[in-house]
Amino acid sequence: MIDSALATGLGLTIIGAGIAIGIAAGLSAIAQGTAAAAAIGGVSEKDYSFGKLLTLVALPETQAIYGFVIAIVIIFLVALGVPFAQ
Amino acid sequence: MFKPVRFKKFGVIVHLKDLEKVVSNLHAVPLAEIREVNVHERELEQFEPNAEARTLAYNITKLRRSLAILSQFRRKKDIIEQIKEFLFYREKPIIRIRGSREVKKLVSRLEPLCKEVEELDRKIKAINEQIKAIAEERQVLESISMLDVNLELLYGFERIEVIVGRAPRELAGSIEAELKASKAALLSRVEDEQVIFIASIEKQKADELTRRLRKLGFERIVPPSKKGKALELISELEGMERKFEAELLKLRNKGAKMLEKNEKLLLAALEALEIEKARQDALLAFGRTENVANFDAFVPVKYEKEFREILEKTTKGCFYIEELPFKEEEAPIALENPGFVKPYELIVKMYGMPSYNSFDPTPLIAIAFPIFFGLAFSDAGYGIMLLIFSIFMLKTLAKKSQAYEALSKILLHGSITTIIFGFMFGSFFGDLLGENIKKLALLDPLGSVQNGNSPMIIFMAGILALALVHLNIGIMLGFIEALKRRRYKLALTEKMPFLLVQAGALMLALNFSQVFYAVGLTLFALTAILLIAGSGPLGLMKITGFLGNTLSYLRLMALGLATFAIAMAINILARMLLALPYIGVVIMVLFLIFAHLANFIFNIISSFIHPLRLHCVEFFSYFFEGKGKEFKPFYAKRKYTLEVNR
Repeated sequence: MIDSALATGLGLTIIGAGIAIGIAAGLSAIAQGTAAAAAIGGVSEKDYSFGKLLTLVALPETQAIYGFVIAIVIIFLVALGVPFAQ
Repeated sequence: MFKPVRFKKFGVIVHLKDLEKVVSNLHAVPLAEIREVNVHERELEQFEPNAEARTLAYNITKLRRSLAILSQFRRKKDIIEQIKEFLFYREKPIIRIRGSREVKKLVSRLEPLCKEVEELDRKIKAINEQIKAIAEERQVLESISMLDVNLELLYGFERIEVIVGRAPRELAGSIEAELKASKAALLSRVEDEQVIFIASIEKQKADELTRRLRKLGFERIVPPSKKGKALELISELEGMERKFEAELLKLRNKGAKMLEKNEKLLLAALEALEIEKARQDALLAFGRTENVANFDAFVPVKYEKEFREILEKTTKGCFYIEELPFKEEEAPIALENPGFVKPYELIVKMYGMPSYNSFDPTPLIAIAFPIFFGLAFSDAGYGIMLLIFSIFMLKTLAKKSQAYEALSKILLHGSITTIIFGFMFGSFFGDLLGENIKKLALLDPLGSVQNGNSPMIIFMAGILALALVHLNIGIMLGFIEALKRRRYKLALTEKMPFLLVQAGALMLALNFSQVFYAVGLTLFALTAILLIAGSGPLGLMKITGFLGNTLSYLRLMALGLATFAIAMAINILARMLLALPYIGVVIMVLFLIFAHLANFIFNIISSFIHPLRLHCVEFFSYFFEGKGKEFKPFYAKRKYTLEVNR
């Protein structure tokens, strides 16, 4: 039988992790869309700039990675039983 | 390896009588990059564009135009043919050419063809004009086709003008009122989707009335000056249109046949002319006196002997050559790496060439890129698919260009690391093999916590360690590069702090004694001082930037987990499909094939782009500028022609 407080805590952890990655990934996707649209214009004018623009398009993804890391840390630190409050 | 190719700069003087031969013999081999001579400095004259160059330019334009016109008639290929053409390399037909006289002969042979193509183009344009006029006339007639009126009744009166036009239903009332007010006679009013009016008025008032009606939303239609009813004329026009279309088809077929027969010849002549033109244009970079010509060339050190031999043979020893000093930024950049490393030059070139005296990062990329690729993909099943796919690419697409060959080899190396990491992390098309493969795995990132250790945290720590190794190599290279160039301030304030801060963090983390703690804090303080000294207080932001760059490598873990998670979701859905009665197995197999194929394709793209980004954005930022100019040898690349017995 899972203790109800523990279950609530676990639920909140999962929600927290979800919010962390959800918001980061969503906003980073919007930024990436803008960058990709601009890069398509750039490549159509100067096709030799494809390599550089490709990496620029991938730039905003870093924020999603941070969100992902935070989500993983939240979940796995809870799994390890490390209390955040301390 | 590790350094771009070494070059020598030569100043060469040859007699004008040998010049044409020297230029064409140098043009036949990719040995030297010609550089413009400063004629004022050396008190020389410049070569002026001559009549031959103008004729060449004229002929090139003419042939290009003929080819462009004929290319419109190219038969459309079906999808199978297009795929075959994309995948497989086909030897291009080659025409043998003996010197520039034969090029001229070839061009004069093509003269009648060019005229015929122009004539064909003129005829087609004329027919298209007629078809367009017919279509416009038909449109007018169709808009008044419901009027059962002979068209000859709508024009040709001495004092009266007939106005025909249309307006939307809701505006019809105001138009009728205006006609009445202007004392025009409304002869007919037909309602269809719109209201069509025929009215008559005195000739001198017609323009004024039309203007007023237009303001009310009336659109005037000018019927063609023809006899008969609109419907009869429409069918007549349709007949004419069919006749023109047939004629057009005939001409287009003729064009397609002309293209098929002459394309090879046109392309060869065009290529030969462009090569001749490039030789003429090269002279513009030369300097001259009354008897001799002078040019400068960058030649890779290893080709110096061949370069001198060409000059010796062509001029029978009558030339002067002198090695010239040059600045670093002047030198062209060529990369030279052994077989395994060579494909990764593609990535360096994508970003930019290194400087002449700086480090060529290609060998480092050749080591790190496949590892990063494998970590991002990390699935043995997909790895085997990629191995087969890359071998297929090597046998087909790779023969088409060097870029495809490099890409195929990079994917081949990546497939091997993908298989290795796949087995290491227990992933074969996700969890398709169930728990069996997990038993072989060294680490299951999604496994449960054992003895207080979470596999995920271990995985994360491993990736961060890899990131630090990779970034520190970059920092060290940047540090050495700065010292070599005697840019001590740059080395101390831009490179050194990253090393110090890591050492400080390590001391604090170990924290064996008070001494460790004190040394750690001192190193932190020193880092801050150096950063502030280099870039002011904002320089401290570079530490957070470094932290961000390190964390950025965690994308490899994220991508690896995503590959596994999506594959696992596909497998779960497939198992659910199996429950369908009768056709469950078939649907499950089809679903598995298509879904895993889609996951495979998406992951090839992301597993390629992200390691690429980690190199270009994170790694290169510590040492690599990519400002070098690629070596562009003075060389005639031939696809359709072969120069023989010069």
